Amino acid sequence: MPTPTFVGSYNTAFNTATSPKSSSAFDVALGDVIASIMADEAAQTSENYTWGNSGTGLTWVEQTQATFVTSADVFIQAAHATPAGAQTSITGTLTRNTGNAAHWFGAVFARWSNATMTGVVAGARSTTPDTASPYTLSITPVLNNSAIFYGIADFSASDFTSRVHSTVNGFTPTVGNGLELAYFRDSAHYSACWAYIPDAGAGGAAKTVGITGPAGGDTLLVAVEIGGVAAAATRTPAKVYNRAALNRAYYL
Amino acid sequence: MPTGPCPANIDGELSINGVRVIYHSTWDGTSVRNVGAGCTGPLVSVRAINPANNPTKYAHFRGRRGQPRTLVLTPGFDQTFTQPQLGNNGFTDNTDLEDLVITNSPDNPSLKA
Repeated sequence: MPTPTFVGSYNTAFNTATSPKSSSAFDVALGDVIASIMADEAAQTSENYTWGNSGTGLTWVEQTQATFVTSADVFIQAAHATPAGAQTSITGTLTRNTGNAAHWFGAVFARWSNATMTGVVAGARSTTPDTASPYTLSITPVLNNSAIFYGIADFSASDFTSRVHSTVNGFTPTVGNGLELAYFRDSAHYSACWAYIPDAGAGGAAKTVGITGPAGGDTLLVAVEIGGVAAAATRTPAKVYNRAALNRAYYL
Repeated sequence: MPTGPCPANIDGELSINGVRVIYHSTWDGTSVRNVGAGCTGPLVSVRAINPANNPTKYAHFRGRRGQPRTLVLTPGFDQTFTQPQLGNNGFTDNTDLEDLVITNSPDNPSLKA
């Protein structure tokens, strides 16, 4: 499969409890996938969020979530939408329907072109809080050469300043190479980090995503596969066989 | 969300596309976690960094009180604002940093209708 093309990421604020929240503005086009991962500073029974967007409505599909409401922990969840056509300057929105109104939360919206999230792509989530560094999650992409978009949220609000992301297929997300999309921490609330692997290599083989951090973390992770599709055909100009006619046209 | 009383020191960071806003505040001694404004306290410092190879970026703060504020981060910007400097610019406690976003646009999203 071809690798999907990462276009950009757009995020809400992470340091308020305000709901709904909006991302910065971005465009979408036919063939895009908009994937979003949100994090909330603590989990709560019946916690529920809804993704949406300004402009013509996309259909948001919740993909996977990790939450442990019987213990203190973060809540992290992924969703995606596939636009039916081009739209300019939309914003992604995230609304808290139920949950503690004082909890801080936020989301990253990432856009890929020549991409798919329908049918066969994989998602993965933590099944228990990860409390030892490296804080990681295994995901097995179905397709070859898919991207993996993942998020990590830490209830302990650990300081991940010295974080190192796991390497997948030779790609190690960093701030400098742009594969890490966002990092947020407030020691009284939560820590969270979002990143992607542009090409995870062979499908059917487990990949490990995550970051190193200090001891004492209490993390949950989610990851989703962004599958690639063939680029849309582009129309090439017809060849000009009558050079003399073309030259005449220039001198009209 | 750490449990128990608010921490004596509250540290935070937002990092987007190489731009970093790092802040430190202390606890006011009375605010309560997860209630009202949560753990609040006076700002001690804010450091903002934009790498030299980045275009100009904008850090927008809505804040819980007062007017939204915007910090222009030109390429290579690296400045630490001290408590008096923050106070002179209307930043007094950590709630003034709320709704922090970093964008390519000088338009503060908090000022939109």
